[in-house]
Amino acid sequence: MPYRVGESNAVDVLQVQAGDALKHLHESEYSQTSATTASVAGALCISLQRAGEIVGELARAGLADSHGPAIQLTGAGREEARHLLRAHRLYETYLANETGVATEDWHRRADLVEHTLSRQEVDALSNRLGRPQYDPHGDPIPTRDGSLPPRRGRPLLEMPEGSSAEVVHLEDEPASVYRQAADAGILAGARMRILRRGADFLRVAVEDRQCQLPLAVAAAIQVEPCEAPPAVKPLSSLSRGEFGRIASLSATLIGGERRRMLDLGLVPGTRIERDFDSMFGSPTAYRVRGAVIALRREQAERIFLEA
Amino acid sequence: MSPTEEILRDAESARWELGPRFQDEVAARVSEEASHLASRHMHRKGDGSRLRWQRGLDRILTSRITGIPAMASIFAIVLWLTIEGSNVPSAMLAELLVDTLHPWLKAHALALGMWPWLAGLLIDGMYLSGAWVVSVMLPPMAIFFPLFTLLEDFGYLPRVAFNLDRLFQKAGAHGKQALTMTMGLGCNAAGVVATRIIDSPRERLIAILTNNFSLCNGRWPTQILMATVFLGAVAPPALAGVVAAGSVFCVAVLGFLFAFGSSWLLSRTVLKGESSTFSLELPPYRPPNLLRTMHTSLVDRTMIVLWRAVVFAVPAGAVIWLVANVSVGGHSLAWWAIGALDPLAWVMGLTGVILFAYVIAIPANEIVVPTILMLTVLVSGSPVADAPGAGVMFEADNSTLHAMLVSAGWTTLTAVCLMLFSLLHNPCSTTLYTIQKETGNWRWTTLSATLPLALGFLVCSSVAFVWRYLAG
Repeated sequence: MPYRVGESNAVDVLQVQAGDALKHLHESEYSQTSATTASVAGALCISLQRAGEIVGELARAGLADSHGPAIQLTGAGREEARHLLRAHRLYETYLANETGVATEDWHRRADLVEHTLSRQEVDALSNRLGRPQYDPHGDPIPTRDGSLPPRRGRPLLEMPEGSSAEVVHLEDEPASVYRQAADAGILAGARMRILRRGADFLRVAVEDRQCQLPLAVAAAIQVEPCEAPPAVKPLSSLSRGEFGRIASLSATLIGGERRRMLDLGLVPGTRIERDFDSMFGSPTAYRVRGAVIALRREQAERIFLEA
Repeated sequence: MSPTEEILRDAESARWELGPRFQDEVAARVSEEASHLASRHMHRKGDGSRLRWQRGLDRILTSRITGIPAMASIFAIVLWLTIEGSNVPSAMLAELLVDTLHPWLKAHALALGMWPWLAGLLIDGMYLSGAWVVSVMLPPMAIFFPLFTLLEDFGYLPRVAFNLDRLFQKAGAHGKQALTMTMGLGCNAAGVVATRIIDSPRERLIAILTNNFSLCNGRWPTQILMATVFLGAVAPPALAGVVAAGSVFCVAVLGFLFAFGSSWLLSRTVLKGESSTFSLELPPYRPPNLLRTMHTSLVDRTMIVLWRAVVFAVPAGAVIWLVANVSVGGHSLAWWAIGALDPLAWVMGLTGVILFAYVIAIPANEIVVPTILMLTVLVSGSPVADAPGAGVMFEADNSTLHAMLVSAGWTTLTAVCLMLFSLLHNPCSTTLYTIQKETGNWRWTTLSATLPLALGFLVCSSVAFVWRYLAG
């Protein structure tokens, strides 16, 4: 299988650190904050001295400029950073669409691979995936000539109680935070209502359930305000012979799985009827658009009907 | 900036406004448009009564109380028809191709002045091996595959996948693997081709790699022979038949357990990273189209598999004849090889002859027993009056066979281990070739051979160890 890279691939540590520093500078520029040697050291978890050396190397290579404490990308540096970002996000999209690699492993694997892909390989990967614009985390993938849309989203923690928001970005680092959010069904595209802000938690309603997010998790989520999501119930809650209309697919259905559901015609507004169960309770046969389709329980729990 | 560049630039920046859920929108519109077209241009015929009996039938075939007996009896009938129905045509083909045509060809070739070694190589080796495969393989496949295709065409098989999916899901597999495993009872190569119905890459690979655990039709004769001649013989005469049939059934069930176990293992280890999605459509029941059924089952399944088997068996026939007839240092090549394999075989409760037969009879499981008999006579001399010459495969009646094998050092343990090894060894070369073609990957092909071999070694050695320990 192409593009698959094992852990054992020797990637030059210096090159990786320089690349990570470039990505950090780019992220700072994109979010309009300023980058310093200290912030580089913090982002890469390295000593100040080492960070200074890396910044010096970037400057010598013509990729970064420092004006006083602030470090900025040069044109060439921005181009290189966006190439890395493009490689990283395309590879994550590949892992999501064409493999069964676990969600929390995408970021780590993409970090290993991004340095090894040439520009031609990245373009070929993009074509193969149908030139996606957004990665599975909802982040824009820089185009071939390096363009990116203006940044969207604001911190979830800034949203007032009672308002509604759609997740536009979820930090994929640290992995434990990402996994907690993903387990709660909070991924890019999920709509939620903010219920209550406690001392060390945020209570939100997502899809058909409520959950309590530790503040560290909530802080990793960027949202856009949206209209209040309609009340929904999972497809699995229908009883035999009952029918409903599809409201939405869970944000946790991504990549190949989501595409499969859409291809089966399970799109919003579709009438779906629970027909009969198999002898061990799952899968269940549903009648949709004149066909009978069997879905496993885990799938039916992630398809939502108008309540 | 030229107008074209301007348009391209505008298009590029407009792309971002589509948003991350753009694909969902497109899919929704396509579905909407399709159902709109369908409602305008399609006429529905018939009334609700058809729908009602279809639903009624679904209730019967998928409920726990009626569905399981229905499934078990349909499965039993298909197997019974295959085994019983193929006895007569198999005997007739063997009579024609092996007992009549083979001596006739040999006699005429010699009479026409062909060198004896060439006649041996061509007729005793290549022709006989091909003839054997055809006569054992063709009748059961020509019965099993059409029956299977009839059930498929009627719409029953997707219901079986639906019923059993939960069990397969627990092993990390797809319900449709129930069908490819059943197909494997006919022929593993056909079972591997049938995995095309599984559209999720990970589950399809699992089905391919574990199909070999379905005891194929080429291995049933070995099982039945060992069970009757050795296991039935140690039971009281009244129970001999039951013991023999029961032990074959146990081996087949053991195969299914190994299929589940290794599916579970594979989905959690080497295949963890392969993509996995589930979908299963339950098409409406409809009267099977007989012509199409015969065509798919006979042309697409039976003949292709048979052709591949013959293509592999004929050169193997030459090899089998050669190892028995070419001598180095006063002994045939087979004698040397068997001697070298003997220590390993002892650990596994087998004999060097059996292991060597599995090596040279890799093209088809059908010729393993004839090869074992030929090699036994070759190395231990013949207590059978009419055994043919070196390199000529043959079969014998049960009592002669028992006497011959016992004098060659076989015990009940040998028979048990042979039954287990016949279940747990590498797929035949036809199946390996098919796996290579279907997966396009040497890694999977190698794994599909090494996994059952390793299991076979493990299981046979453990059984032999425990057996010898208990026997003192």
